[in-house]
Amino acid sequence: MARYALLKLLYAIPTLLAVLVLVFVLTRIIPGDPAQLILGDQATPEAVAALRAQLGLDKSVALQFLDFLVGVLHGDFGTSIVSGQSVVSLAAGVLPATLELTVASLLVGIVFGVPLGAWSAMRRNRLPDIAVRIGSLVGLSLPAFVFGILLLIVFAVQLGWFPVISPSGEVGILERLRALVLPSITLGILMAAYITRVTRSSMLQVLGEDFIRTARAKGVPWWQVVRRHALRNAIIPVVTVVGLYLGVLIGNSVLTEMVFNRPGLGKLIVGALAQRDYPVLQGLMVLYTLLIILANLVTDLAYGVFNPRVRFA
Amino acid sequence: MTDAPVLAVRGLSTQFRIGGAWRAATRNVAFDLFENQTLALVGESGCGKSITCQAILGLLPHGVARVEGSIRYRGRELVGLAEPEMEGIRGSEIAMIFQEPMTALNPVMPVGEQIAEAILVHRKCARAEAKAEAIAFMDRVRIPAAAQRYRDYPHQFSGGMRQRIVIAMAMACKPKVLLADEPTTALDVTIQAQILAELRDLCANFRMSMVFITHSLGVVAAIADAVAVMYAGEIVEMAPVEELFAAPKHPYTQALFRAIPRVDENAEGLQPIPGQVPPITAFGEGCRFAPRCPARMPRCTGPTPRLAGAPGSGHAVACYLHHSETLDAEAAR
Amino acid sequence: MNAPETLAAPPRAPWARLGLALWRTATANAATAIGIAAFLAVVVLAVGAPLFATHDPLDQDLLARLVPPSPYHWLGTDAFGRDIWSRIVYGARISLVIGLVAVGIAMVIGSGLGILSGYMGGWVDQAISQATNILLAFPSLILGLMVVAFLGPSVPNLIAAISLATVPQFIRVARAPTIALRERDFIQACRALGFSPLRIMLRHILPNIWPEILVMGSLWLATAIRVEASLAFIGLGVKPPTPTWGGMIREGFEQILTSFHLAVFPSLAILVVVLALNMIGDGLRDALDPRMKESGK
Repeated sequence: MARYALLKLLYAIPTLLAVLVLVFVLTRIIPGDPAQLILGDQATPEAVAALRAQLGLDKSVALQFLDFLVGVLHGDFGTSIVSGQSVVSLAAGVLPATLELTVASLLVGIVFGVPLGAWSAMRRNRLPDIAVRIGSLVGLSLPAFVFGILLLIVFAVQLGWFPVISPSGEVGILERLRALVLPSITLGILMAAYITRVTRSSMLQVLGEDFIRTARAKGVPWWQVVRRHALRNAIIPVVTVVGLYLGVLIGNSVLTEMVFNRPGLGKLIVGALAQRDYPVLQGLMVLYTLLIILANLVTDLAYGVFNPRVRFA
Repeated sequence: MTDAPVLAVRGLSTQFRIGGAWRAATRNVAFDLFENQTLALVGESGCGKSITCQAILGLLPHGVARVEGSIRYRGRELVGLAEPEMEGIRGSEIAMIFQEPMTALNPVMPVGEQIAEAILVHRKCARAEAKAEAIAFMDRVRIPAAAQRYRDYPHQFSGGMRQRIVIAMAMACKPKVLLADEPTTALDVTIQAQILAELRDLCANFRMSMVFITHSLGVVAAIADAVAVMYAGEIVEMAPVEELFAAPKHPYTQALFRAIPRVDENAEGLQPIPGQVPPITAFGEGCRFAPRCPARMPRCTGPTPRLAGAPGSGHAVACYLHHSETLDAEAAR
Repeated sequence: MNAPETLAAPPRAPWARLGLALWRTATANAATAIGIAAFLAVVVLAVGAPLFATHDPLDQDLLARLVPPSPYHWLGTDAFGRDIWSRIVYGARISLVIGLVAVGIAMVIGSGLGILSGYMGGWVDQAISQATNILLAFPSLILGLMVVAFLGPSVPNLIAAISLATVPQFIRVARAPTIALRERDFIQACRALGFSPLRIMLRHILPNIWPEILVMGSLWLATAIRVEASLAFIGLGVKPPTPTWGGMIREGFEQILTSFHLAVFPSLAILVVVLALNMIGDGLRDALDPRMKESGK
């Protein structure tokens, strides 16, 4: 298992490197001079030159990339030109909020997705199945912000059950959880839709397998066959898909944070976009990449836990 | 054979819904299985052997399959039995082993646990006790280092070993009847012989009865006491094994024997059966073998011949060639 | 066991196969039929936008700001008094153009690379597969956000960003069946006859796999339209005042407490198009997937 984990870690390195190159290239092909863009048209040539030096833009591209790489390796993701704070400290302040949202949404996705998918598979082509299939299709067709806005209008604005704007600063745990409900449902519904679909098709396949018949032939009650034999096997592809869509989840958290005005990486990105804070954007891209690679790694490990054939390979 | 049969099947018909219509997969299957007896069900693929076994255990999917007739296990009617009661019978009274050892085991559950599960669902006992018993059974079917391999997963075993595990699982509750659905077909010939010996041994030791499905007459000779030959969903001939091998009566059975390659004959002696088994959707009245039968008579396409034999002979055949005496006797009555 | 059988269909059949699949799913599956109808309706609206729009989408009427739906302004007006229905109709053009062109480009490049990768094998395959895996690790929204954030929001940049995010999907979907096809007799026969690899790939492999590619296309068109709207919502869409659905929601969101019709109607528009495309893609996939067919009976 340890070897398997280490191997997966090694595989992540080229991906990370490639992404760093991609981020670097993207930041260098901005049309025009970044320093000029940042400072605006009225800036004096001296100021522009100073900023160029500060950003390291006066060095050769190769050196710039090296600086960038060394910086990342040392945990230096750049410094905001607006606030002067380091990207790491900016991100560290809001990362818990984003992680909280992502994990809560993942839970929503699993708690709704797996049982619905299994139920749908067992009632194949009957009313529950059709309802679940249509529901999941709608769920994955809804952009996160559309669903978020609908929830916001109904439950926060009209019914007033939940806060419209997430509270910031120190608040009680209960208040914090209450503010988390709508955002995590918004983001989780997408995950739930994906998980439902995969669980359903995976379950349908597993239910037709020989070993299900074997289990029934030895007198195992049906619900126990479903739980211990079918679901345990059907869950394996679900794990893969959850991992695949963790990235989608992280991506859509940007939208959710905007809609619910929650602090988080997404809000940070949008703020940096508005202020053309390119170092922050670049740093956050790298951070997002790290998060996604980490998520994929965790998924691979989880896959090993659920699938003995991988564990012993 | 004065005892009551352990398993008595009468008029068993199974139907499947195909494209909206119900089609008969087996028709009027009847046989008795006595204690410590092995009955072989022989026939080509798709003749309804497996379906018959699954019908006995109530494993056919509801809504898609329909079972009619009577299956009595020690006098208790199984057709129409409620699912919870059927679950009590499956595994503990009647167990089944399957053709494909590679797929018959749950890939994500340790094999030992799969055997222990069979014990635990039928008996209130501690986990440790079930485990000890499972290991004993793994030992019993000659899995080397059983205790160490308890926690291993199916993919870590060879096909032959997996089939032994499937057998241990079926035997775990010491069932009275074992339904073996071509348990050796997917295995190498040498492994095949070992597994057959194992099954024979277990039957004798536990005074267990067995329905053994196969398409190989060689395997029949090695394991069976009695044989039922199935063709297109019906039993066409039934006899004690020696009698059937000595004097097969039904043209289909005879054809099966002619299709076995033999060392003492050259290949020209081999006679394949012309034509093929009709599809399930094309069954009509009359003897289903008639279209391929060398001895076809006009009446063969009339009413379906019933399985009948001379009284007391134990050898029954569903063919008009051999029916004159029994039918006359019936007509006179 | 079934997969090779579908590929065994004669090489020239795919047009018929797809048509048949579409027809079969449309008749057997109401959802697909609704999807096709809804998507066609949106296409007609977008193409004939000047005919269907009741107002100029850019025309501001400061005396009729934030008007709720009425017979004159069917879906009401926004904060500048612009007619929402007309903006939605014109906005469909942006969504469809960006979506279709981006997915079209991704489809051509992606299937090309996928077939090349699968057919050539060796280091070509290695290189392409590695690059694909790296790009696949990225959610399309983040990748799009990265590209557009740095290149600036314009129609070509949006198309480039969404294409980049979609290409690996097509590489993946084209590569796997190509590998299976490569070993088949009729491709071997082509090779024995001395056909050039290019000819084999274009004339013999492509026609066999493109129904699958098209299914992927419809599903990713849905995603592309969603991503474009999401980017516009973040503020990375085509620059205002050009009407885009995502942009309209972004503007409407500011008025969410008082006039939520601003955000609701473009949201519904997105939902209809994305849902329609997903329904089509789902139905087609089921119709073309031999496993579903077999067990579906």
